[in-house]
Amino acid sequence: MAEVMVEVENLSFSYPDSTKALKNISFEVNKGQIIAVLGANGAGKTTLCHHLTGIIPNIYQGTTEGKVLVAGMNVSDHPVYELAQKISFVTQDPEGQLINPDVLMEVAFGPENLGVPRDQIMQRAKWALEAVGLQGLESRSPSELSGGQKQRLVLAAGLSMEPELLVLDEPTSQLDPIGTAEVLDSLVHLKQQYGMTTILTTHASEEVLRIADRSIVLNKGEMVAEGDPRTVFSKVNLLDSVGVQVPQVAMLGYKLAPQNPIPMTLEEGKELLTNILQHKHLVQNLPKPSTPNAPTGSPVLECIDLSYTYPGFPPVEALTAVNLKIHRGEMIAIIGQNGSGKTTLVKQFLKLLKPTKGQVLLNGKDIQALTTGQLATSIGLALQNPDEQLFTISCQKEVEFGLRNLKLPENEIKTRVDEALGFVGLQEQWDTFPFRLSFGDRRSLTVAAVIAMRPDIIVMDEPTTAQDYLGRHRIARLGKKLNESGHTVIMITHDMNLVTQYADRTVVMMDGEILLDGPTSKVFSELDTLKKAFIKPPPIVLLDKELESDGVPQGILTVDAMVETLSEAP
Amino acid sequence: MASIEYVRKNTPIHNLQAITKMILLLASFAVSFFALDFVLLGVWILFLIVWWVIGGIEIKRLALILKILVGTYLFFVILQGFTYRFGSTVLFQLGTVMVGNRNYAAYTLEGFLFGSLVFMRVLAVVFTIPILTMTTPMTKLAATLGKMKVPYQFTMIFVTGIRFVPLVFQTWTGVIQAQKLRGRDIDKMPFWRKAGVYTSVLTPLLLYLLKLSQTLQLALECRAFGSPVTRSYVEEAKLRVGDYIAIASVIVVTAILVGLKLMGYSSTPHLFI
Repeated sequence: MAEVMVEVENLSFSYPDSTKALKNISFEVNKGQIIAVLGANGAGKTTLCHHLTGIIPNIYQGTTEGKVLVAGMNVSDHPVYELAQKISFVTQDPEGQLINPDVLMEVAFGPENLGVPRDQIMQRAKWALEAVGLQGLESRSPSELSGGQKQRLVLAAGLSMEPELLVLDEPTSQLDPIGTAEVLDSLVHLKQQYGMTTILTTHASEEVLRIADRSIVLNKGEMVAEGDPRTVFSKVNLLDSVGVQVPQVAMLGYKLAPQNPIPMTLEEGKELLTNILQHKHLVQNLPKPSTPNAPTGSPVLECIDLSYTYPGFPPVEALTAVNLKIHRGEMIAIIGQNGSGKTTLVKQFLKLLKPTKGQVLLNGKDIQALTTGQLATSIGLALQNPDEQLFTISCQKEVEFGLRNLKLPENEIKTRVDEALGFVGLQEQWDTFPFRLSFGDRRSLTVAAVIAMRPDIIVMDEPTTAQDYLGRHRIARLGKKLNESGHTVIMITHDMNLVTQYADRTVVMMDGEILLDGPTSKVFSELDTLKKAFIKPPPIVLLDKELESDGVPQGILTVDAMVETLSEAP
Repeated sequence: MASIEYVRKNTPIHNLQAITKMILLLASFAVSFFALDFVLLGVWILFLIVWWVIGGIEIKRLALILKILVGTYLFFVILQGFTYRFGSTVLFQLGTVMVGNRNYAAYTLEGFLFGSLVFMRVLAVVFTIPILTMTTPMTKLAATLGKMKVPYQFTMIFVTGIRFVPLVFQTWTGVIQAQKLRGRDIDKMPFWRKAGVYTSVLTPLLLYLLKLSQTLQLALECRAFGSPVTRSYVEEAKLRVGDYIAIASVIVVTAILVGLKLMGYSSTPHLFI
């Protein structure tokens, strides 16, 4: 019989303000398993992690019922420093968890605090760094590491305390696809090589299928589903209702043949579709998906041989001779790994950075003579972190801020504030202190503040970071709505499902250059080039490619488009 | 701050223990206080420049500090030129501002030289700081402080402070950029209005710091910080041959310079001291 590592029995928890965060949760985890906890933001995932690590009740207070046992220890009976020798905790923000000036010190920090002799610490550090693939980087500063490396360093820092359980709270939500893969591969390696037990919370459903032994779904503090990922993801209606993303292949199977077993993998999806195609005797009669018309007229925004080098020791070349034309009314996605130059590019549009070479033209005129403040009336940019963009005492004041800088009359300001807050669904919260809003609403408020200024062009820089499935789509839909009302919308994102669903045109960047630029369907047909840029297309795109020889038209980007195409067949 | 951060290199100075460089800093204070003389301070500054060269300290990284030093020099020579009480050789005068029998609108040679000398005193200390900070990783510094029985909590405050300075600057810049993006034309504002803008940055900055400190607290507790055991250190703070040679050279040079001054040496006896 498998050894039980974690026992959660009838766990309920209320915060001091009486918010009920967990309701009667019970589950067990066997040694060596990877458990994925899924749920929308606010479902209780982080609160559960805090119980598993003893942070509640040791650091955060509230009313707990039930118990949590880890490796036979009742966590509420032990201080965190004792529990830290059994349980390692990783949160979503690697920056805040890295304390020390170099990699070795970071990994040694925990054992040093426990008074472990130097020789043993060195052995543990070597092992921990090897386990996460960071050997050889001992003398590096954390600031020199990529996002994925930073998060793996946090993981190694916990491993050096020789824990029996890893608890990771959305460890990949702030990482790009490469960083995400690095962290998750490390977890699989730890399980396979060392039998490590892991509980992680995540929104990445596709990845859960790949690595998890079991999944737990939380909704408003309650456990609404539990089992192996295949079983859990088969409950499509339930997951959809609680805001958990269903893997694309499963969703496609459910929509096309709900009576059949739900496919999960690409191979299973292909098998299902092949059967459907054979059954329908169609092949050559399938309609081709429509491709948006190529933009015409003079560009509203244009980059000519744009280069930018960050000053430093050594200087870093972030953009190299970028040429880009953006036309009025386009909905464009800019994609690429962290460091590929996406944010640097859009910052040039507003002179937040001054080009080293080349120029940016707005409506055919060089922007050099204008200030950022002046450009902001034509180009609205919502930056990545909403918390750096909110600085007033209410949502109303926040939206008013830009309008007052434009020196508009009071009645015009009032009209625009009401309109912008209504547009993002925050009209009821007009007098709420912005930092009391949820993360998703704070993000929407920054967009409202931008659109109230009625710029022609709206740029959203990674609006989906740290958002759950519903939050991501809400923001993307907002972008689409703005686009449909006549704005040019540019969205930087790592979420390929959003790109394929909402963007008409996609620009792929790599190492400061534009690798691909064209209609989204065309760009996502260039699988080899995308691979070079470390971009993983959504499963539906891969499935479409797999079925090319079966006569399925190419360029299908979404589940709905695939369902529609097959439904229209005779 | 960022310009005097540690730079990873493999030089004899980098390989010295932090305590050796802390002794050098103490010696700089001693020389600047007890050897106030052009030649003696000049020799000490040359001695420090030798450390810079051996330590591979790149002057271009210190551009900001050098600019500040130029400003400091001008401040000293202007102030002392007009106010030095033993000033008698007038180089030029801007009018007459008599206080007692001293004309404070007259710029004197003695004042200029004394201002330059005071600046050299500052330089002697300031030139030592990059030798400590740019060639010594925080790990070595923390281990040395630990050996010196400085409570680790204090060292930790210092270490985390250094670690999070760039993050605070990053947030500051982010908030300022966000305000520009909402049409606030900070670039075109006069200085006093810019100061008003900077105060509005404080709310998001403080909230960010609170959030960061909360994450930091979790990270520290989950790594057994504060556990009731005697802490061990990976970094060894043992002195090696290079350290003994460096310390000996510091002691010898300091003793000669301070000794000469105490014995009455002065390179400018006819001027003021």
